[in-house]
Amino acid sequence: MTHTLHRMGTYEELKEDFIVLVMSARGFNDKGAAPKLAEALKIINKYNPVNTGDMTQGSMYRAGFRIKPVEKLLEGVHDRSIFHGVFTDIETVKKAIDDLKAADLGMSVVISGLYDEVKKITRPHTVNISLGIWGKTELLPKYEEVLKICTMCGHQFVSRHLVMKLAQDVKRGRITAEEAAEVMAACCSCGIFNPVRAVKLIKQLVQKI
Amino acid sequence: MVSLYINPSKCVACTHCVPFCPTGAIQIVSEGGRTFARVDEDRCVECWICYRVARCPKDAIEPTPPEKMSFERRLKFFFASATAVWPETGMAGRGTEEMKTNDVTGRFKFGEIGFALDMGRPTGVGVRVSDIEKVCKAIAPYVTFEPENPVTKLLIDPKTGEVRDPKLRNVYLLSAVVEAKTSKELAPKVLQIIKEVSKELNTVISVGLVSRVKPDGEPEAFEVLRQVGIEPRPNMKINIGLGKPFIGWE
Repeated sequence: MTHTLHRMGTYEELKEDFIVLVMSARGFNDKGAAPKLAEALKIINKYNPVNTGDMTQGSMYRAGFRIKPVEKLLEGVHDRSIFHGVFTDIETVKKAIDDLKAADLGMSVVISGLYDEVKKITRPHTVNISLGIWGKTELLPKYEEVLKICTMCGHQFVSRHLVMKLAQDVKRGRITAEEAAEVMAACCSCGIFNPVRAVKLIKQLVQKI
Repeated sequence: MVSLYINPSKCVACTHCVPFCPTGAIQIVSEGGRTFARVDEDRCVECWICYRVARCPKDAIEPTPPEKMSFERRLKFFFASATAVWPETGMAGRGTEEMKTNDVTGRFKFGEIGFALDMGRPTGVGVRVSDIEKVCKAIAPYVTFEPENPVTKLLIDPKTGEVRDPKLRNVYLLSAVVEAKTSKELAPKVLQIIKEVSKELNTVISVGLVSRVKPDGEPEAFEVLRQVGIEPRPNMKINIGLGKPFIGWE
């Protein structure tokens, strides 16, 4: 599972894109983990992430989860829930991490984002380093904004064709960039898509098409 | 019949579902005086985004439950799912927890380098099993494949990297994560092999390299990257060590 890795963007863009993930380890500490994971979800959501979700239940953009998503997610929490929160600045990530440390839940916590920024707020243990995209890269989209948007869902559920279609809708004045970003976020089932960053990228893309 | 089926008697060819498909498998066709959407059986990766998110206004999209699918279709379904539990393995998702729980499991130790090769990703490029086999065969002599990973369990022989069933070579998947590890000494060679074999592929690989972080804050894998002259991207997945270690591994 490498779903939060490989988000494309410049250093400045990625300074607005951090994901905090909390999970138990199968066969090690998953038995009875649900209350601890629920506590982690509450801590993450105390700091108003721009997206949140459970890999096993869906995101706050899932149909039926739009109203009171945290309450819905807490209703369905279980020992193998994998909770995510997406944040747009490292300062807020630090607050959430400080609270998670204080709570001492014993669950694994992973931050996906700029290493040099994360290193300033906490001590890394193990990393998965993105080396980028290898192979037949001519198969990738023509516009870098499409690549940057699509890589915000590591399961590839945000279609490049949908991004182009919605950008055209925005250009024609049929929908706003914010509405387009919400449709894209609904495709990402884990809740790791960053709709705030997507709005900026959609607006840039609209200027090019 | 393709497992994910768009019922032509219900479809009104509104095209709403078409752009939602990551691989562009939905086409509008005209036959017998009618126009409707049809799913390309080969390109369809059973992700069900069209069904789950696009939500057809005429309820024309009719997926087949995985338990009624052929093995090839079920491979597509499970490799495209974030959460579905594999009946063959009892595991969920495309890969394992890899480094995300390394603070608890100790899966990766100092002196070891992990590889997470996300084949067919990003942007719905997709991957044929034959391309997964090419990579696995090339690195097999130098790595240990992750035994709990679905590629290792279902597709390839972990000793040789060859596909278990030649009939599967042409199956087209949304993506598959090849997970393996080796020693720090062998890692540069493995990276070079991956770089070379990636030139022969008809797909892309999002390449990830896993390692422990030294007390001075530098990931151990940076030594490997310096040897082969590969520059890491600035973003990583960072386990910050809050999990309680499993007693007995270190």
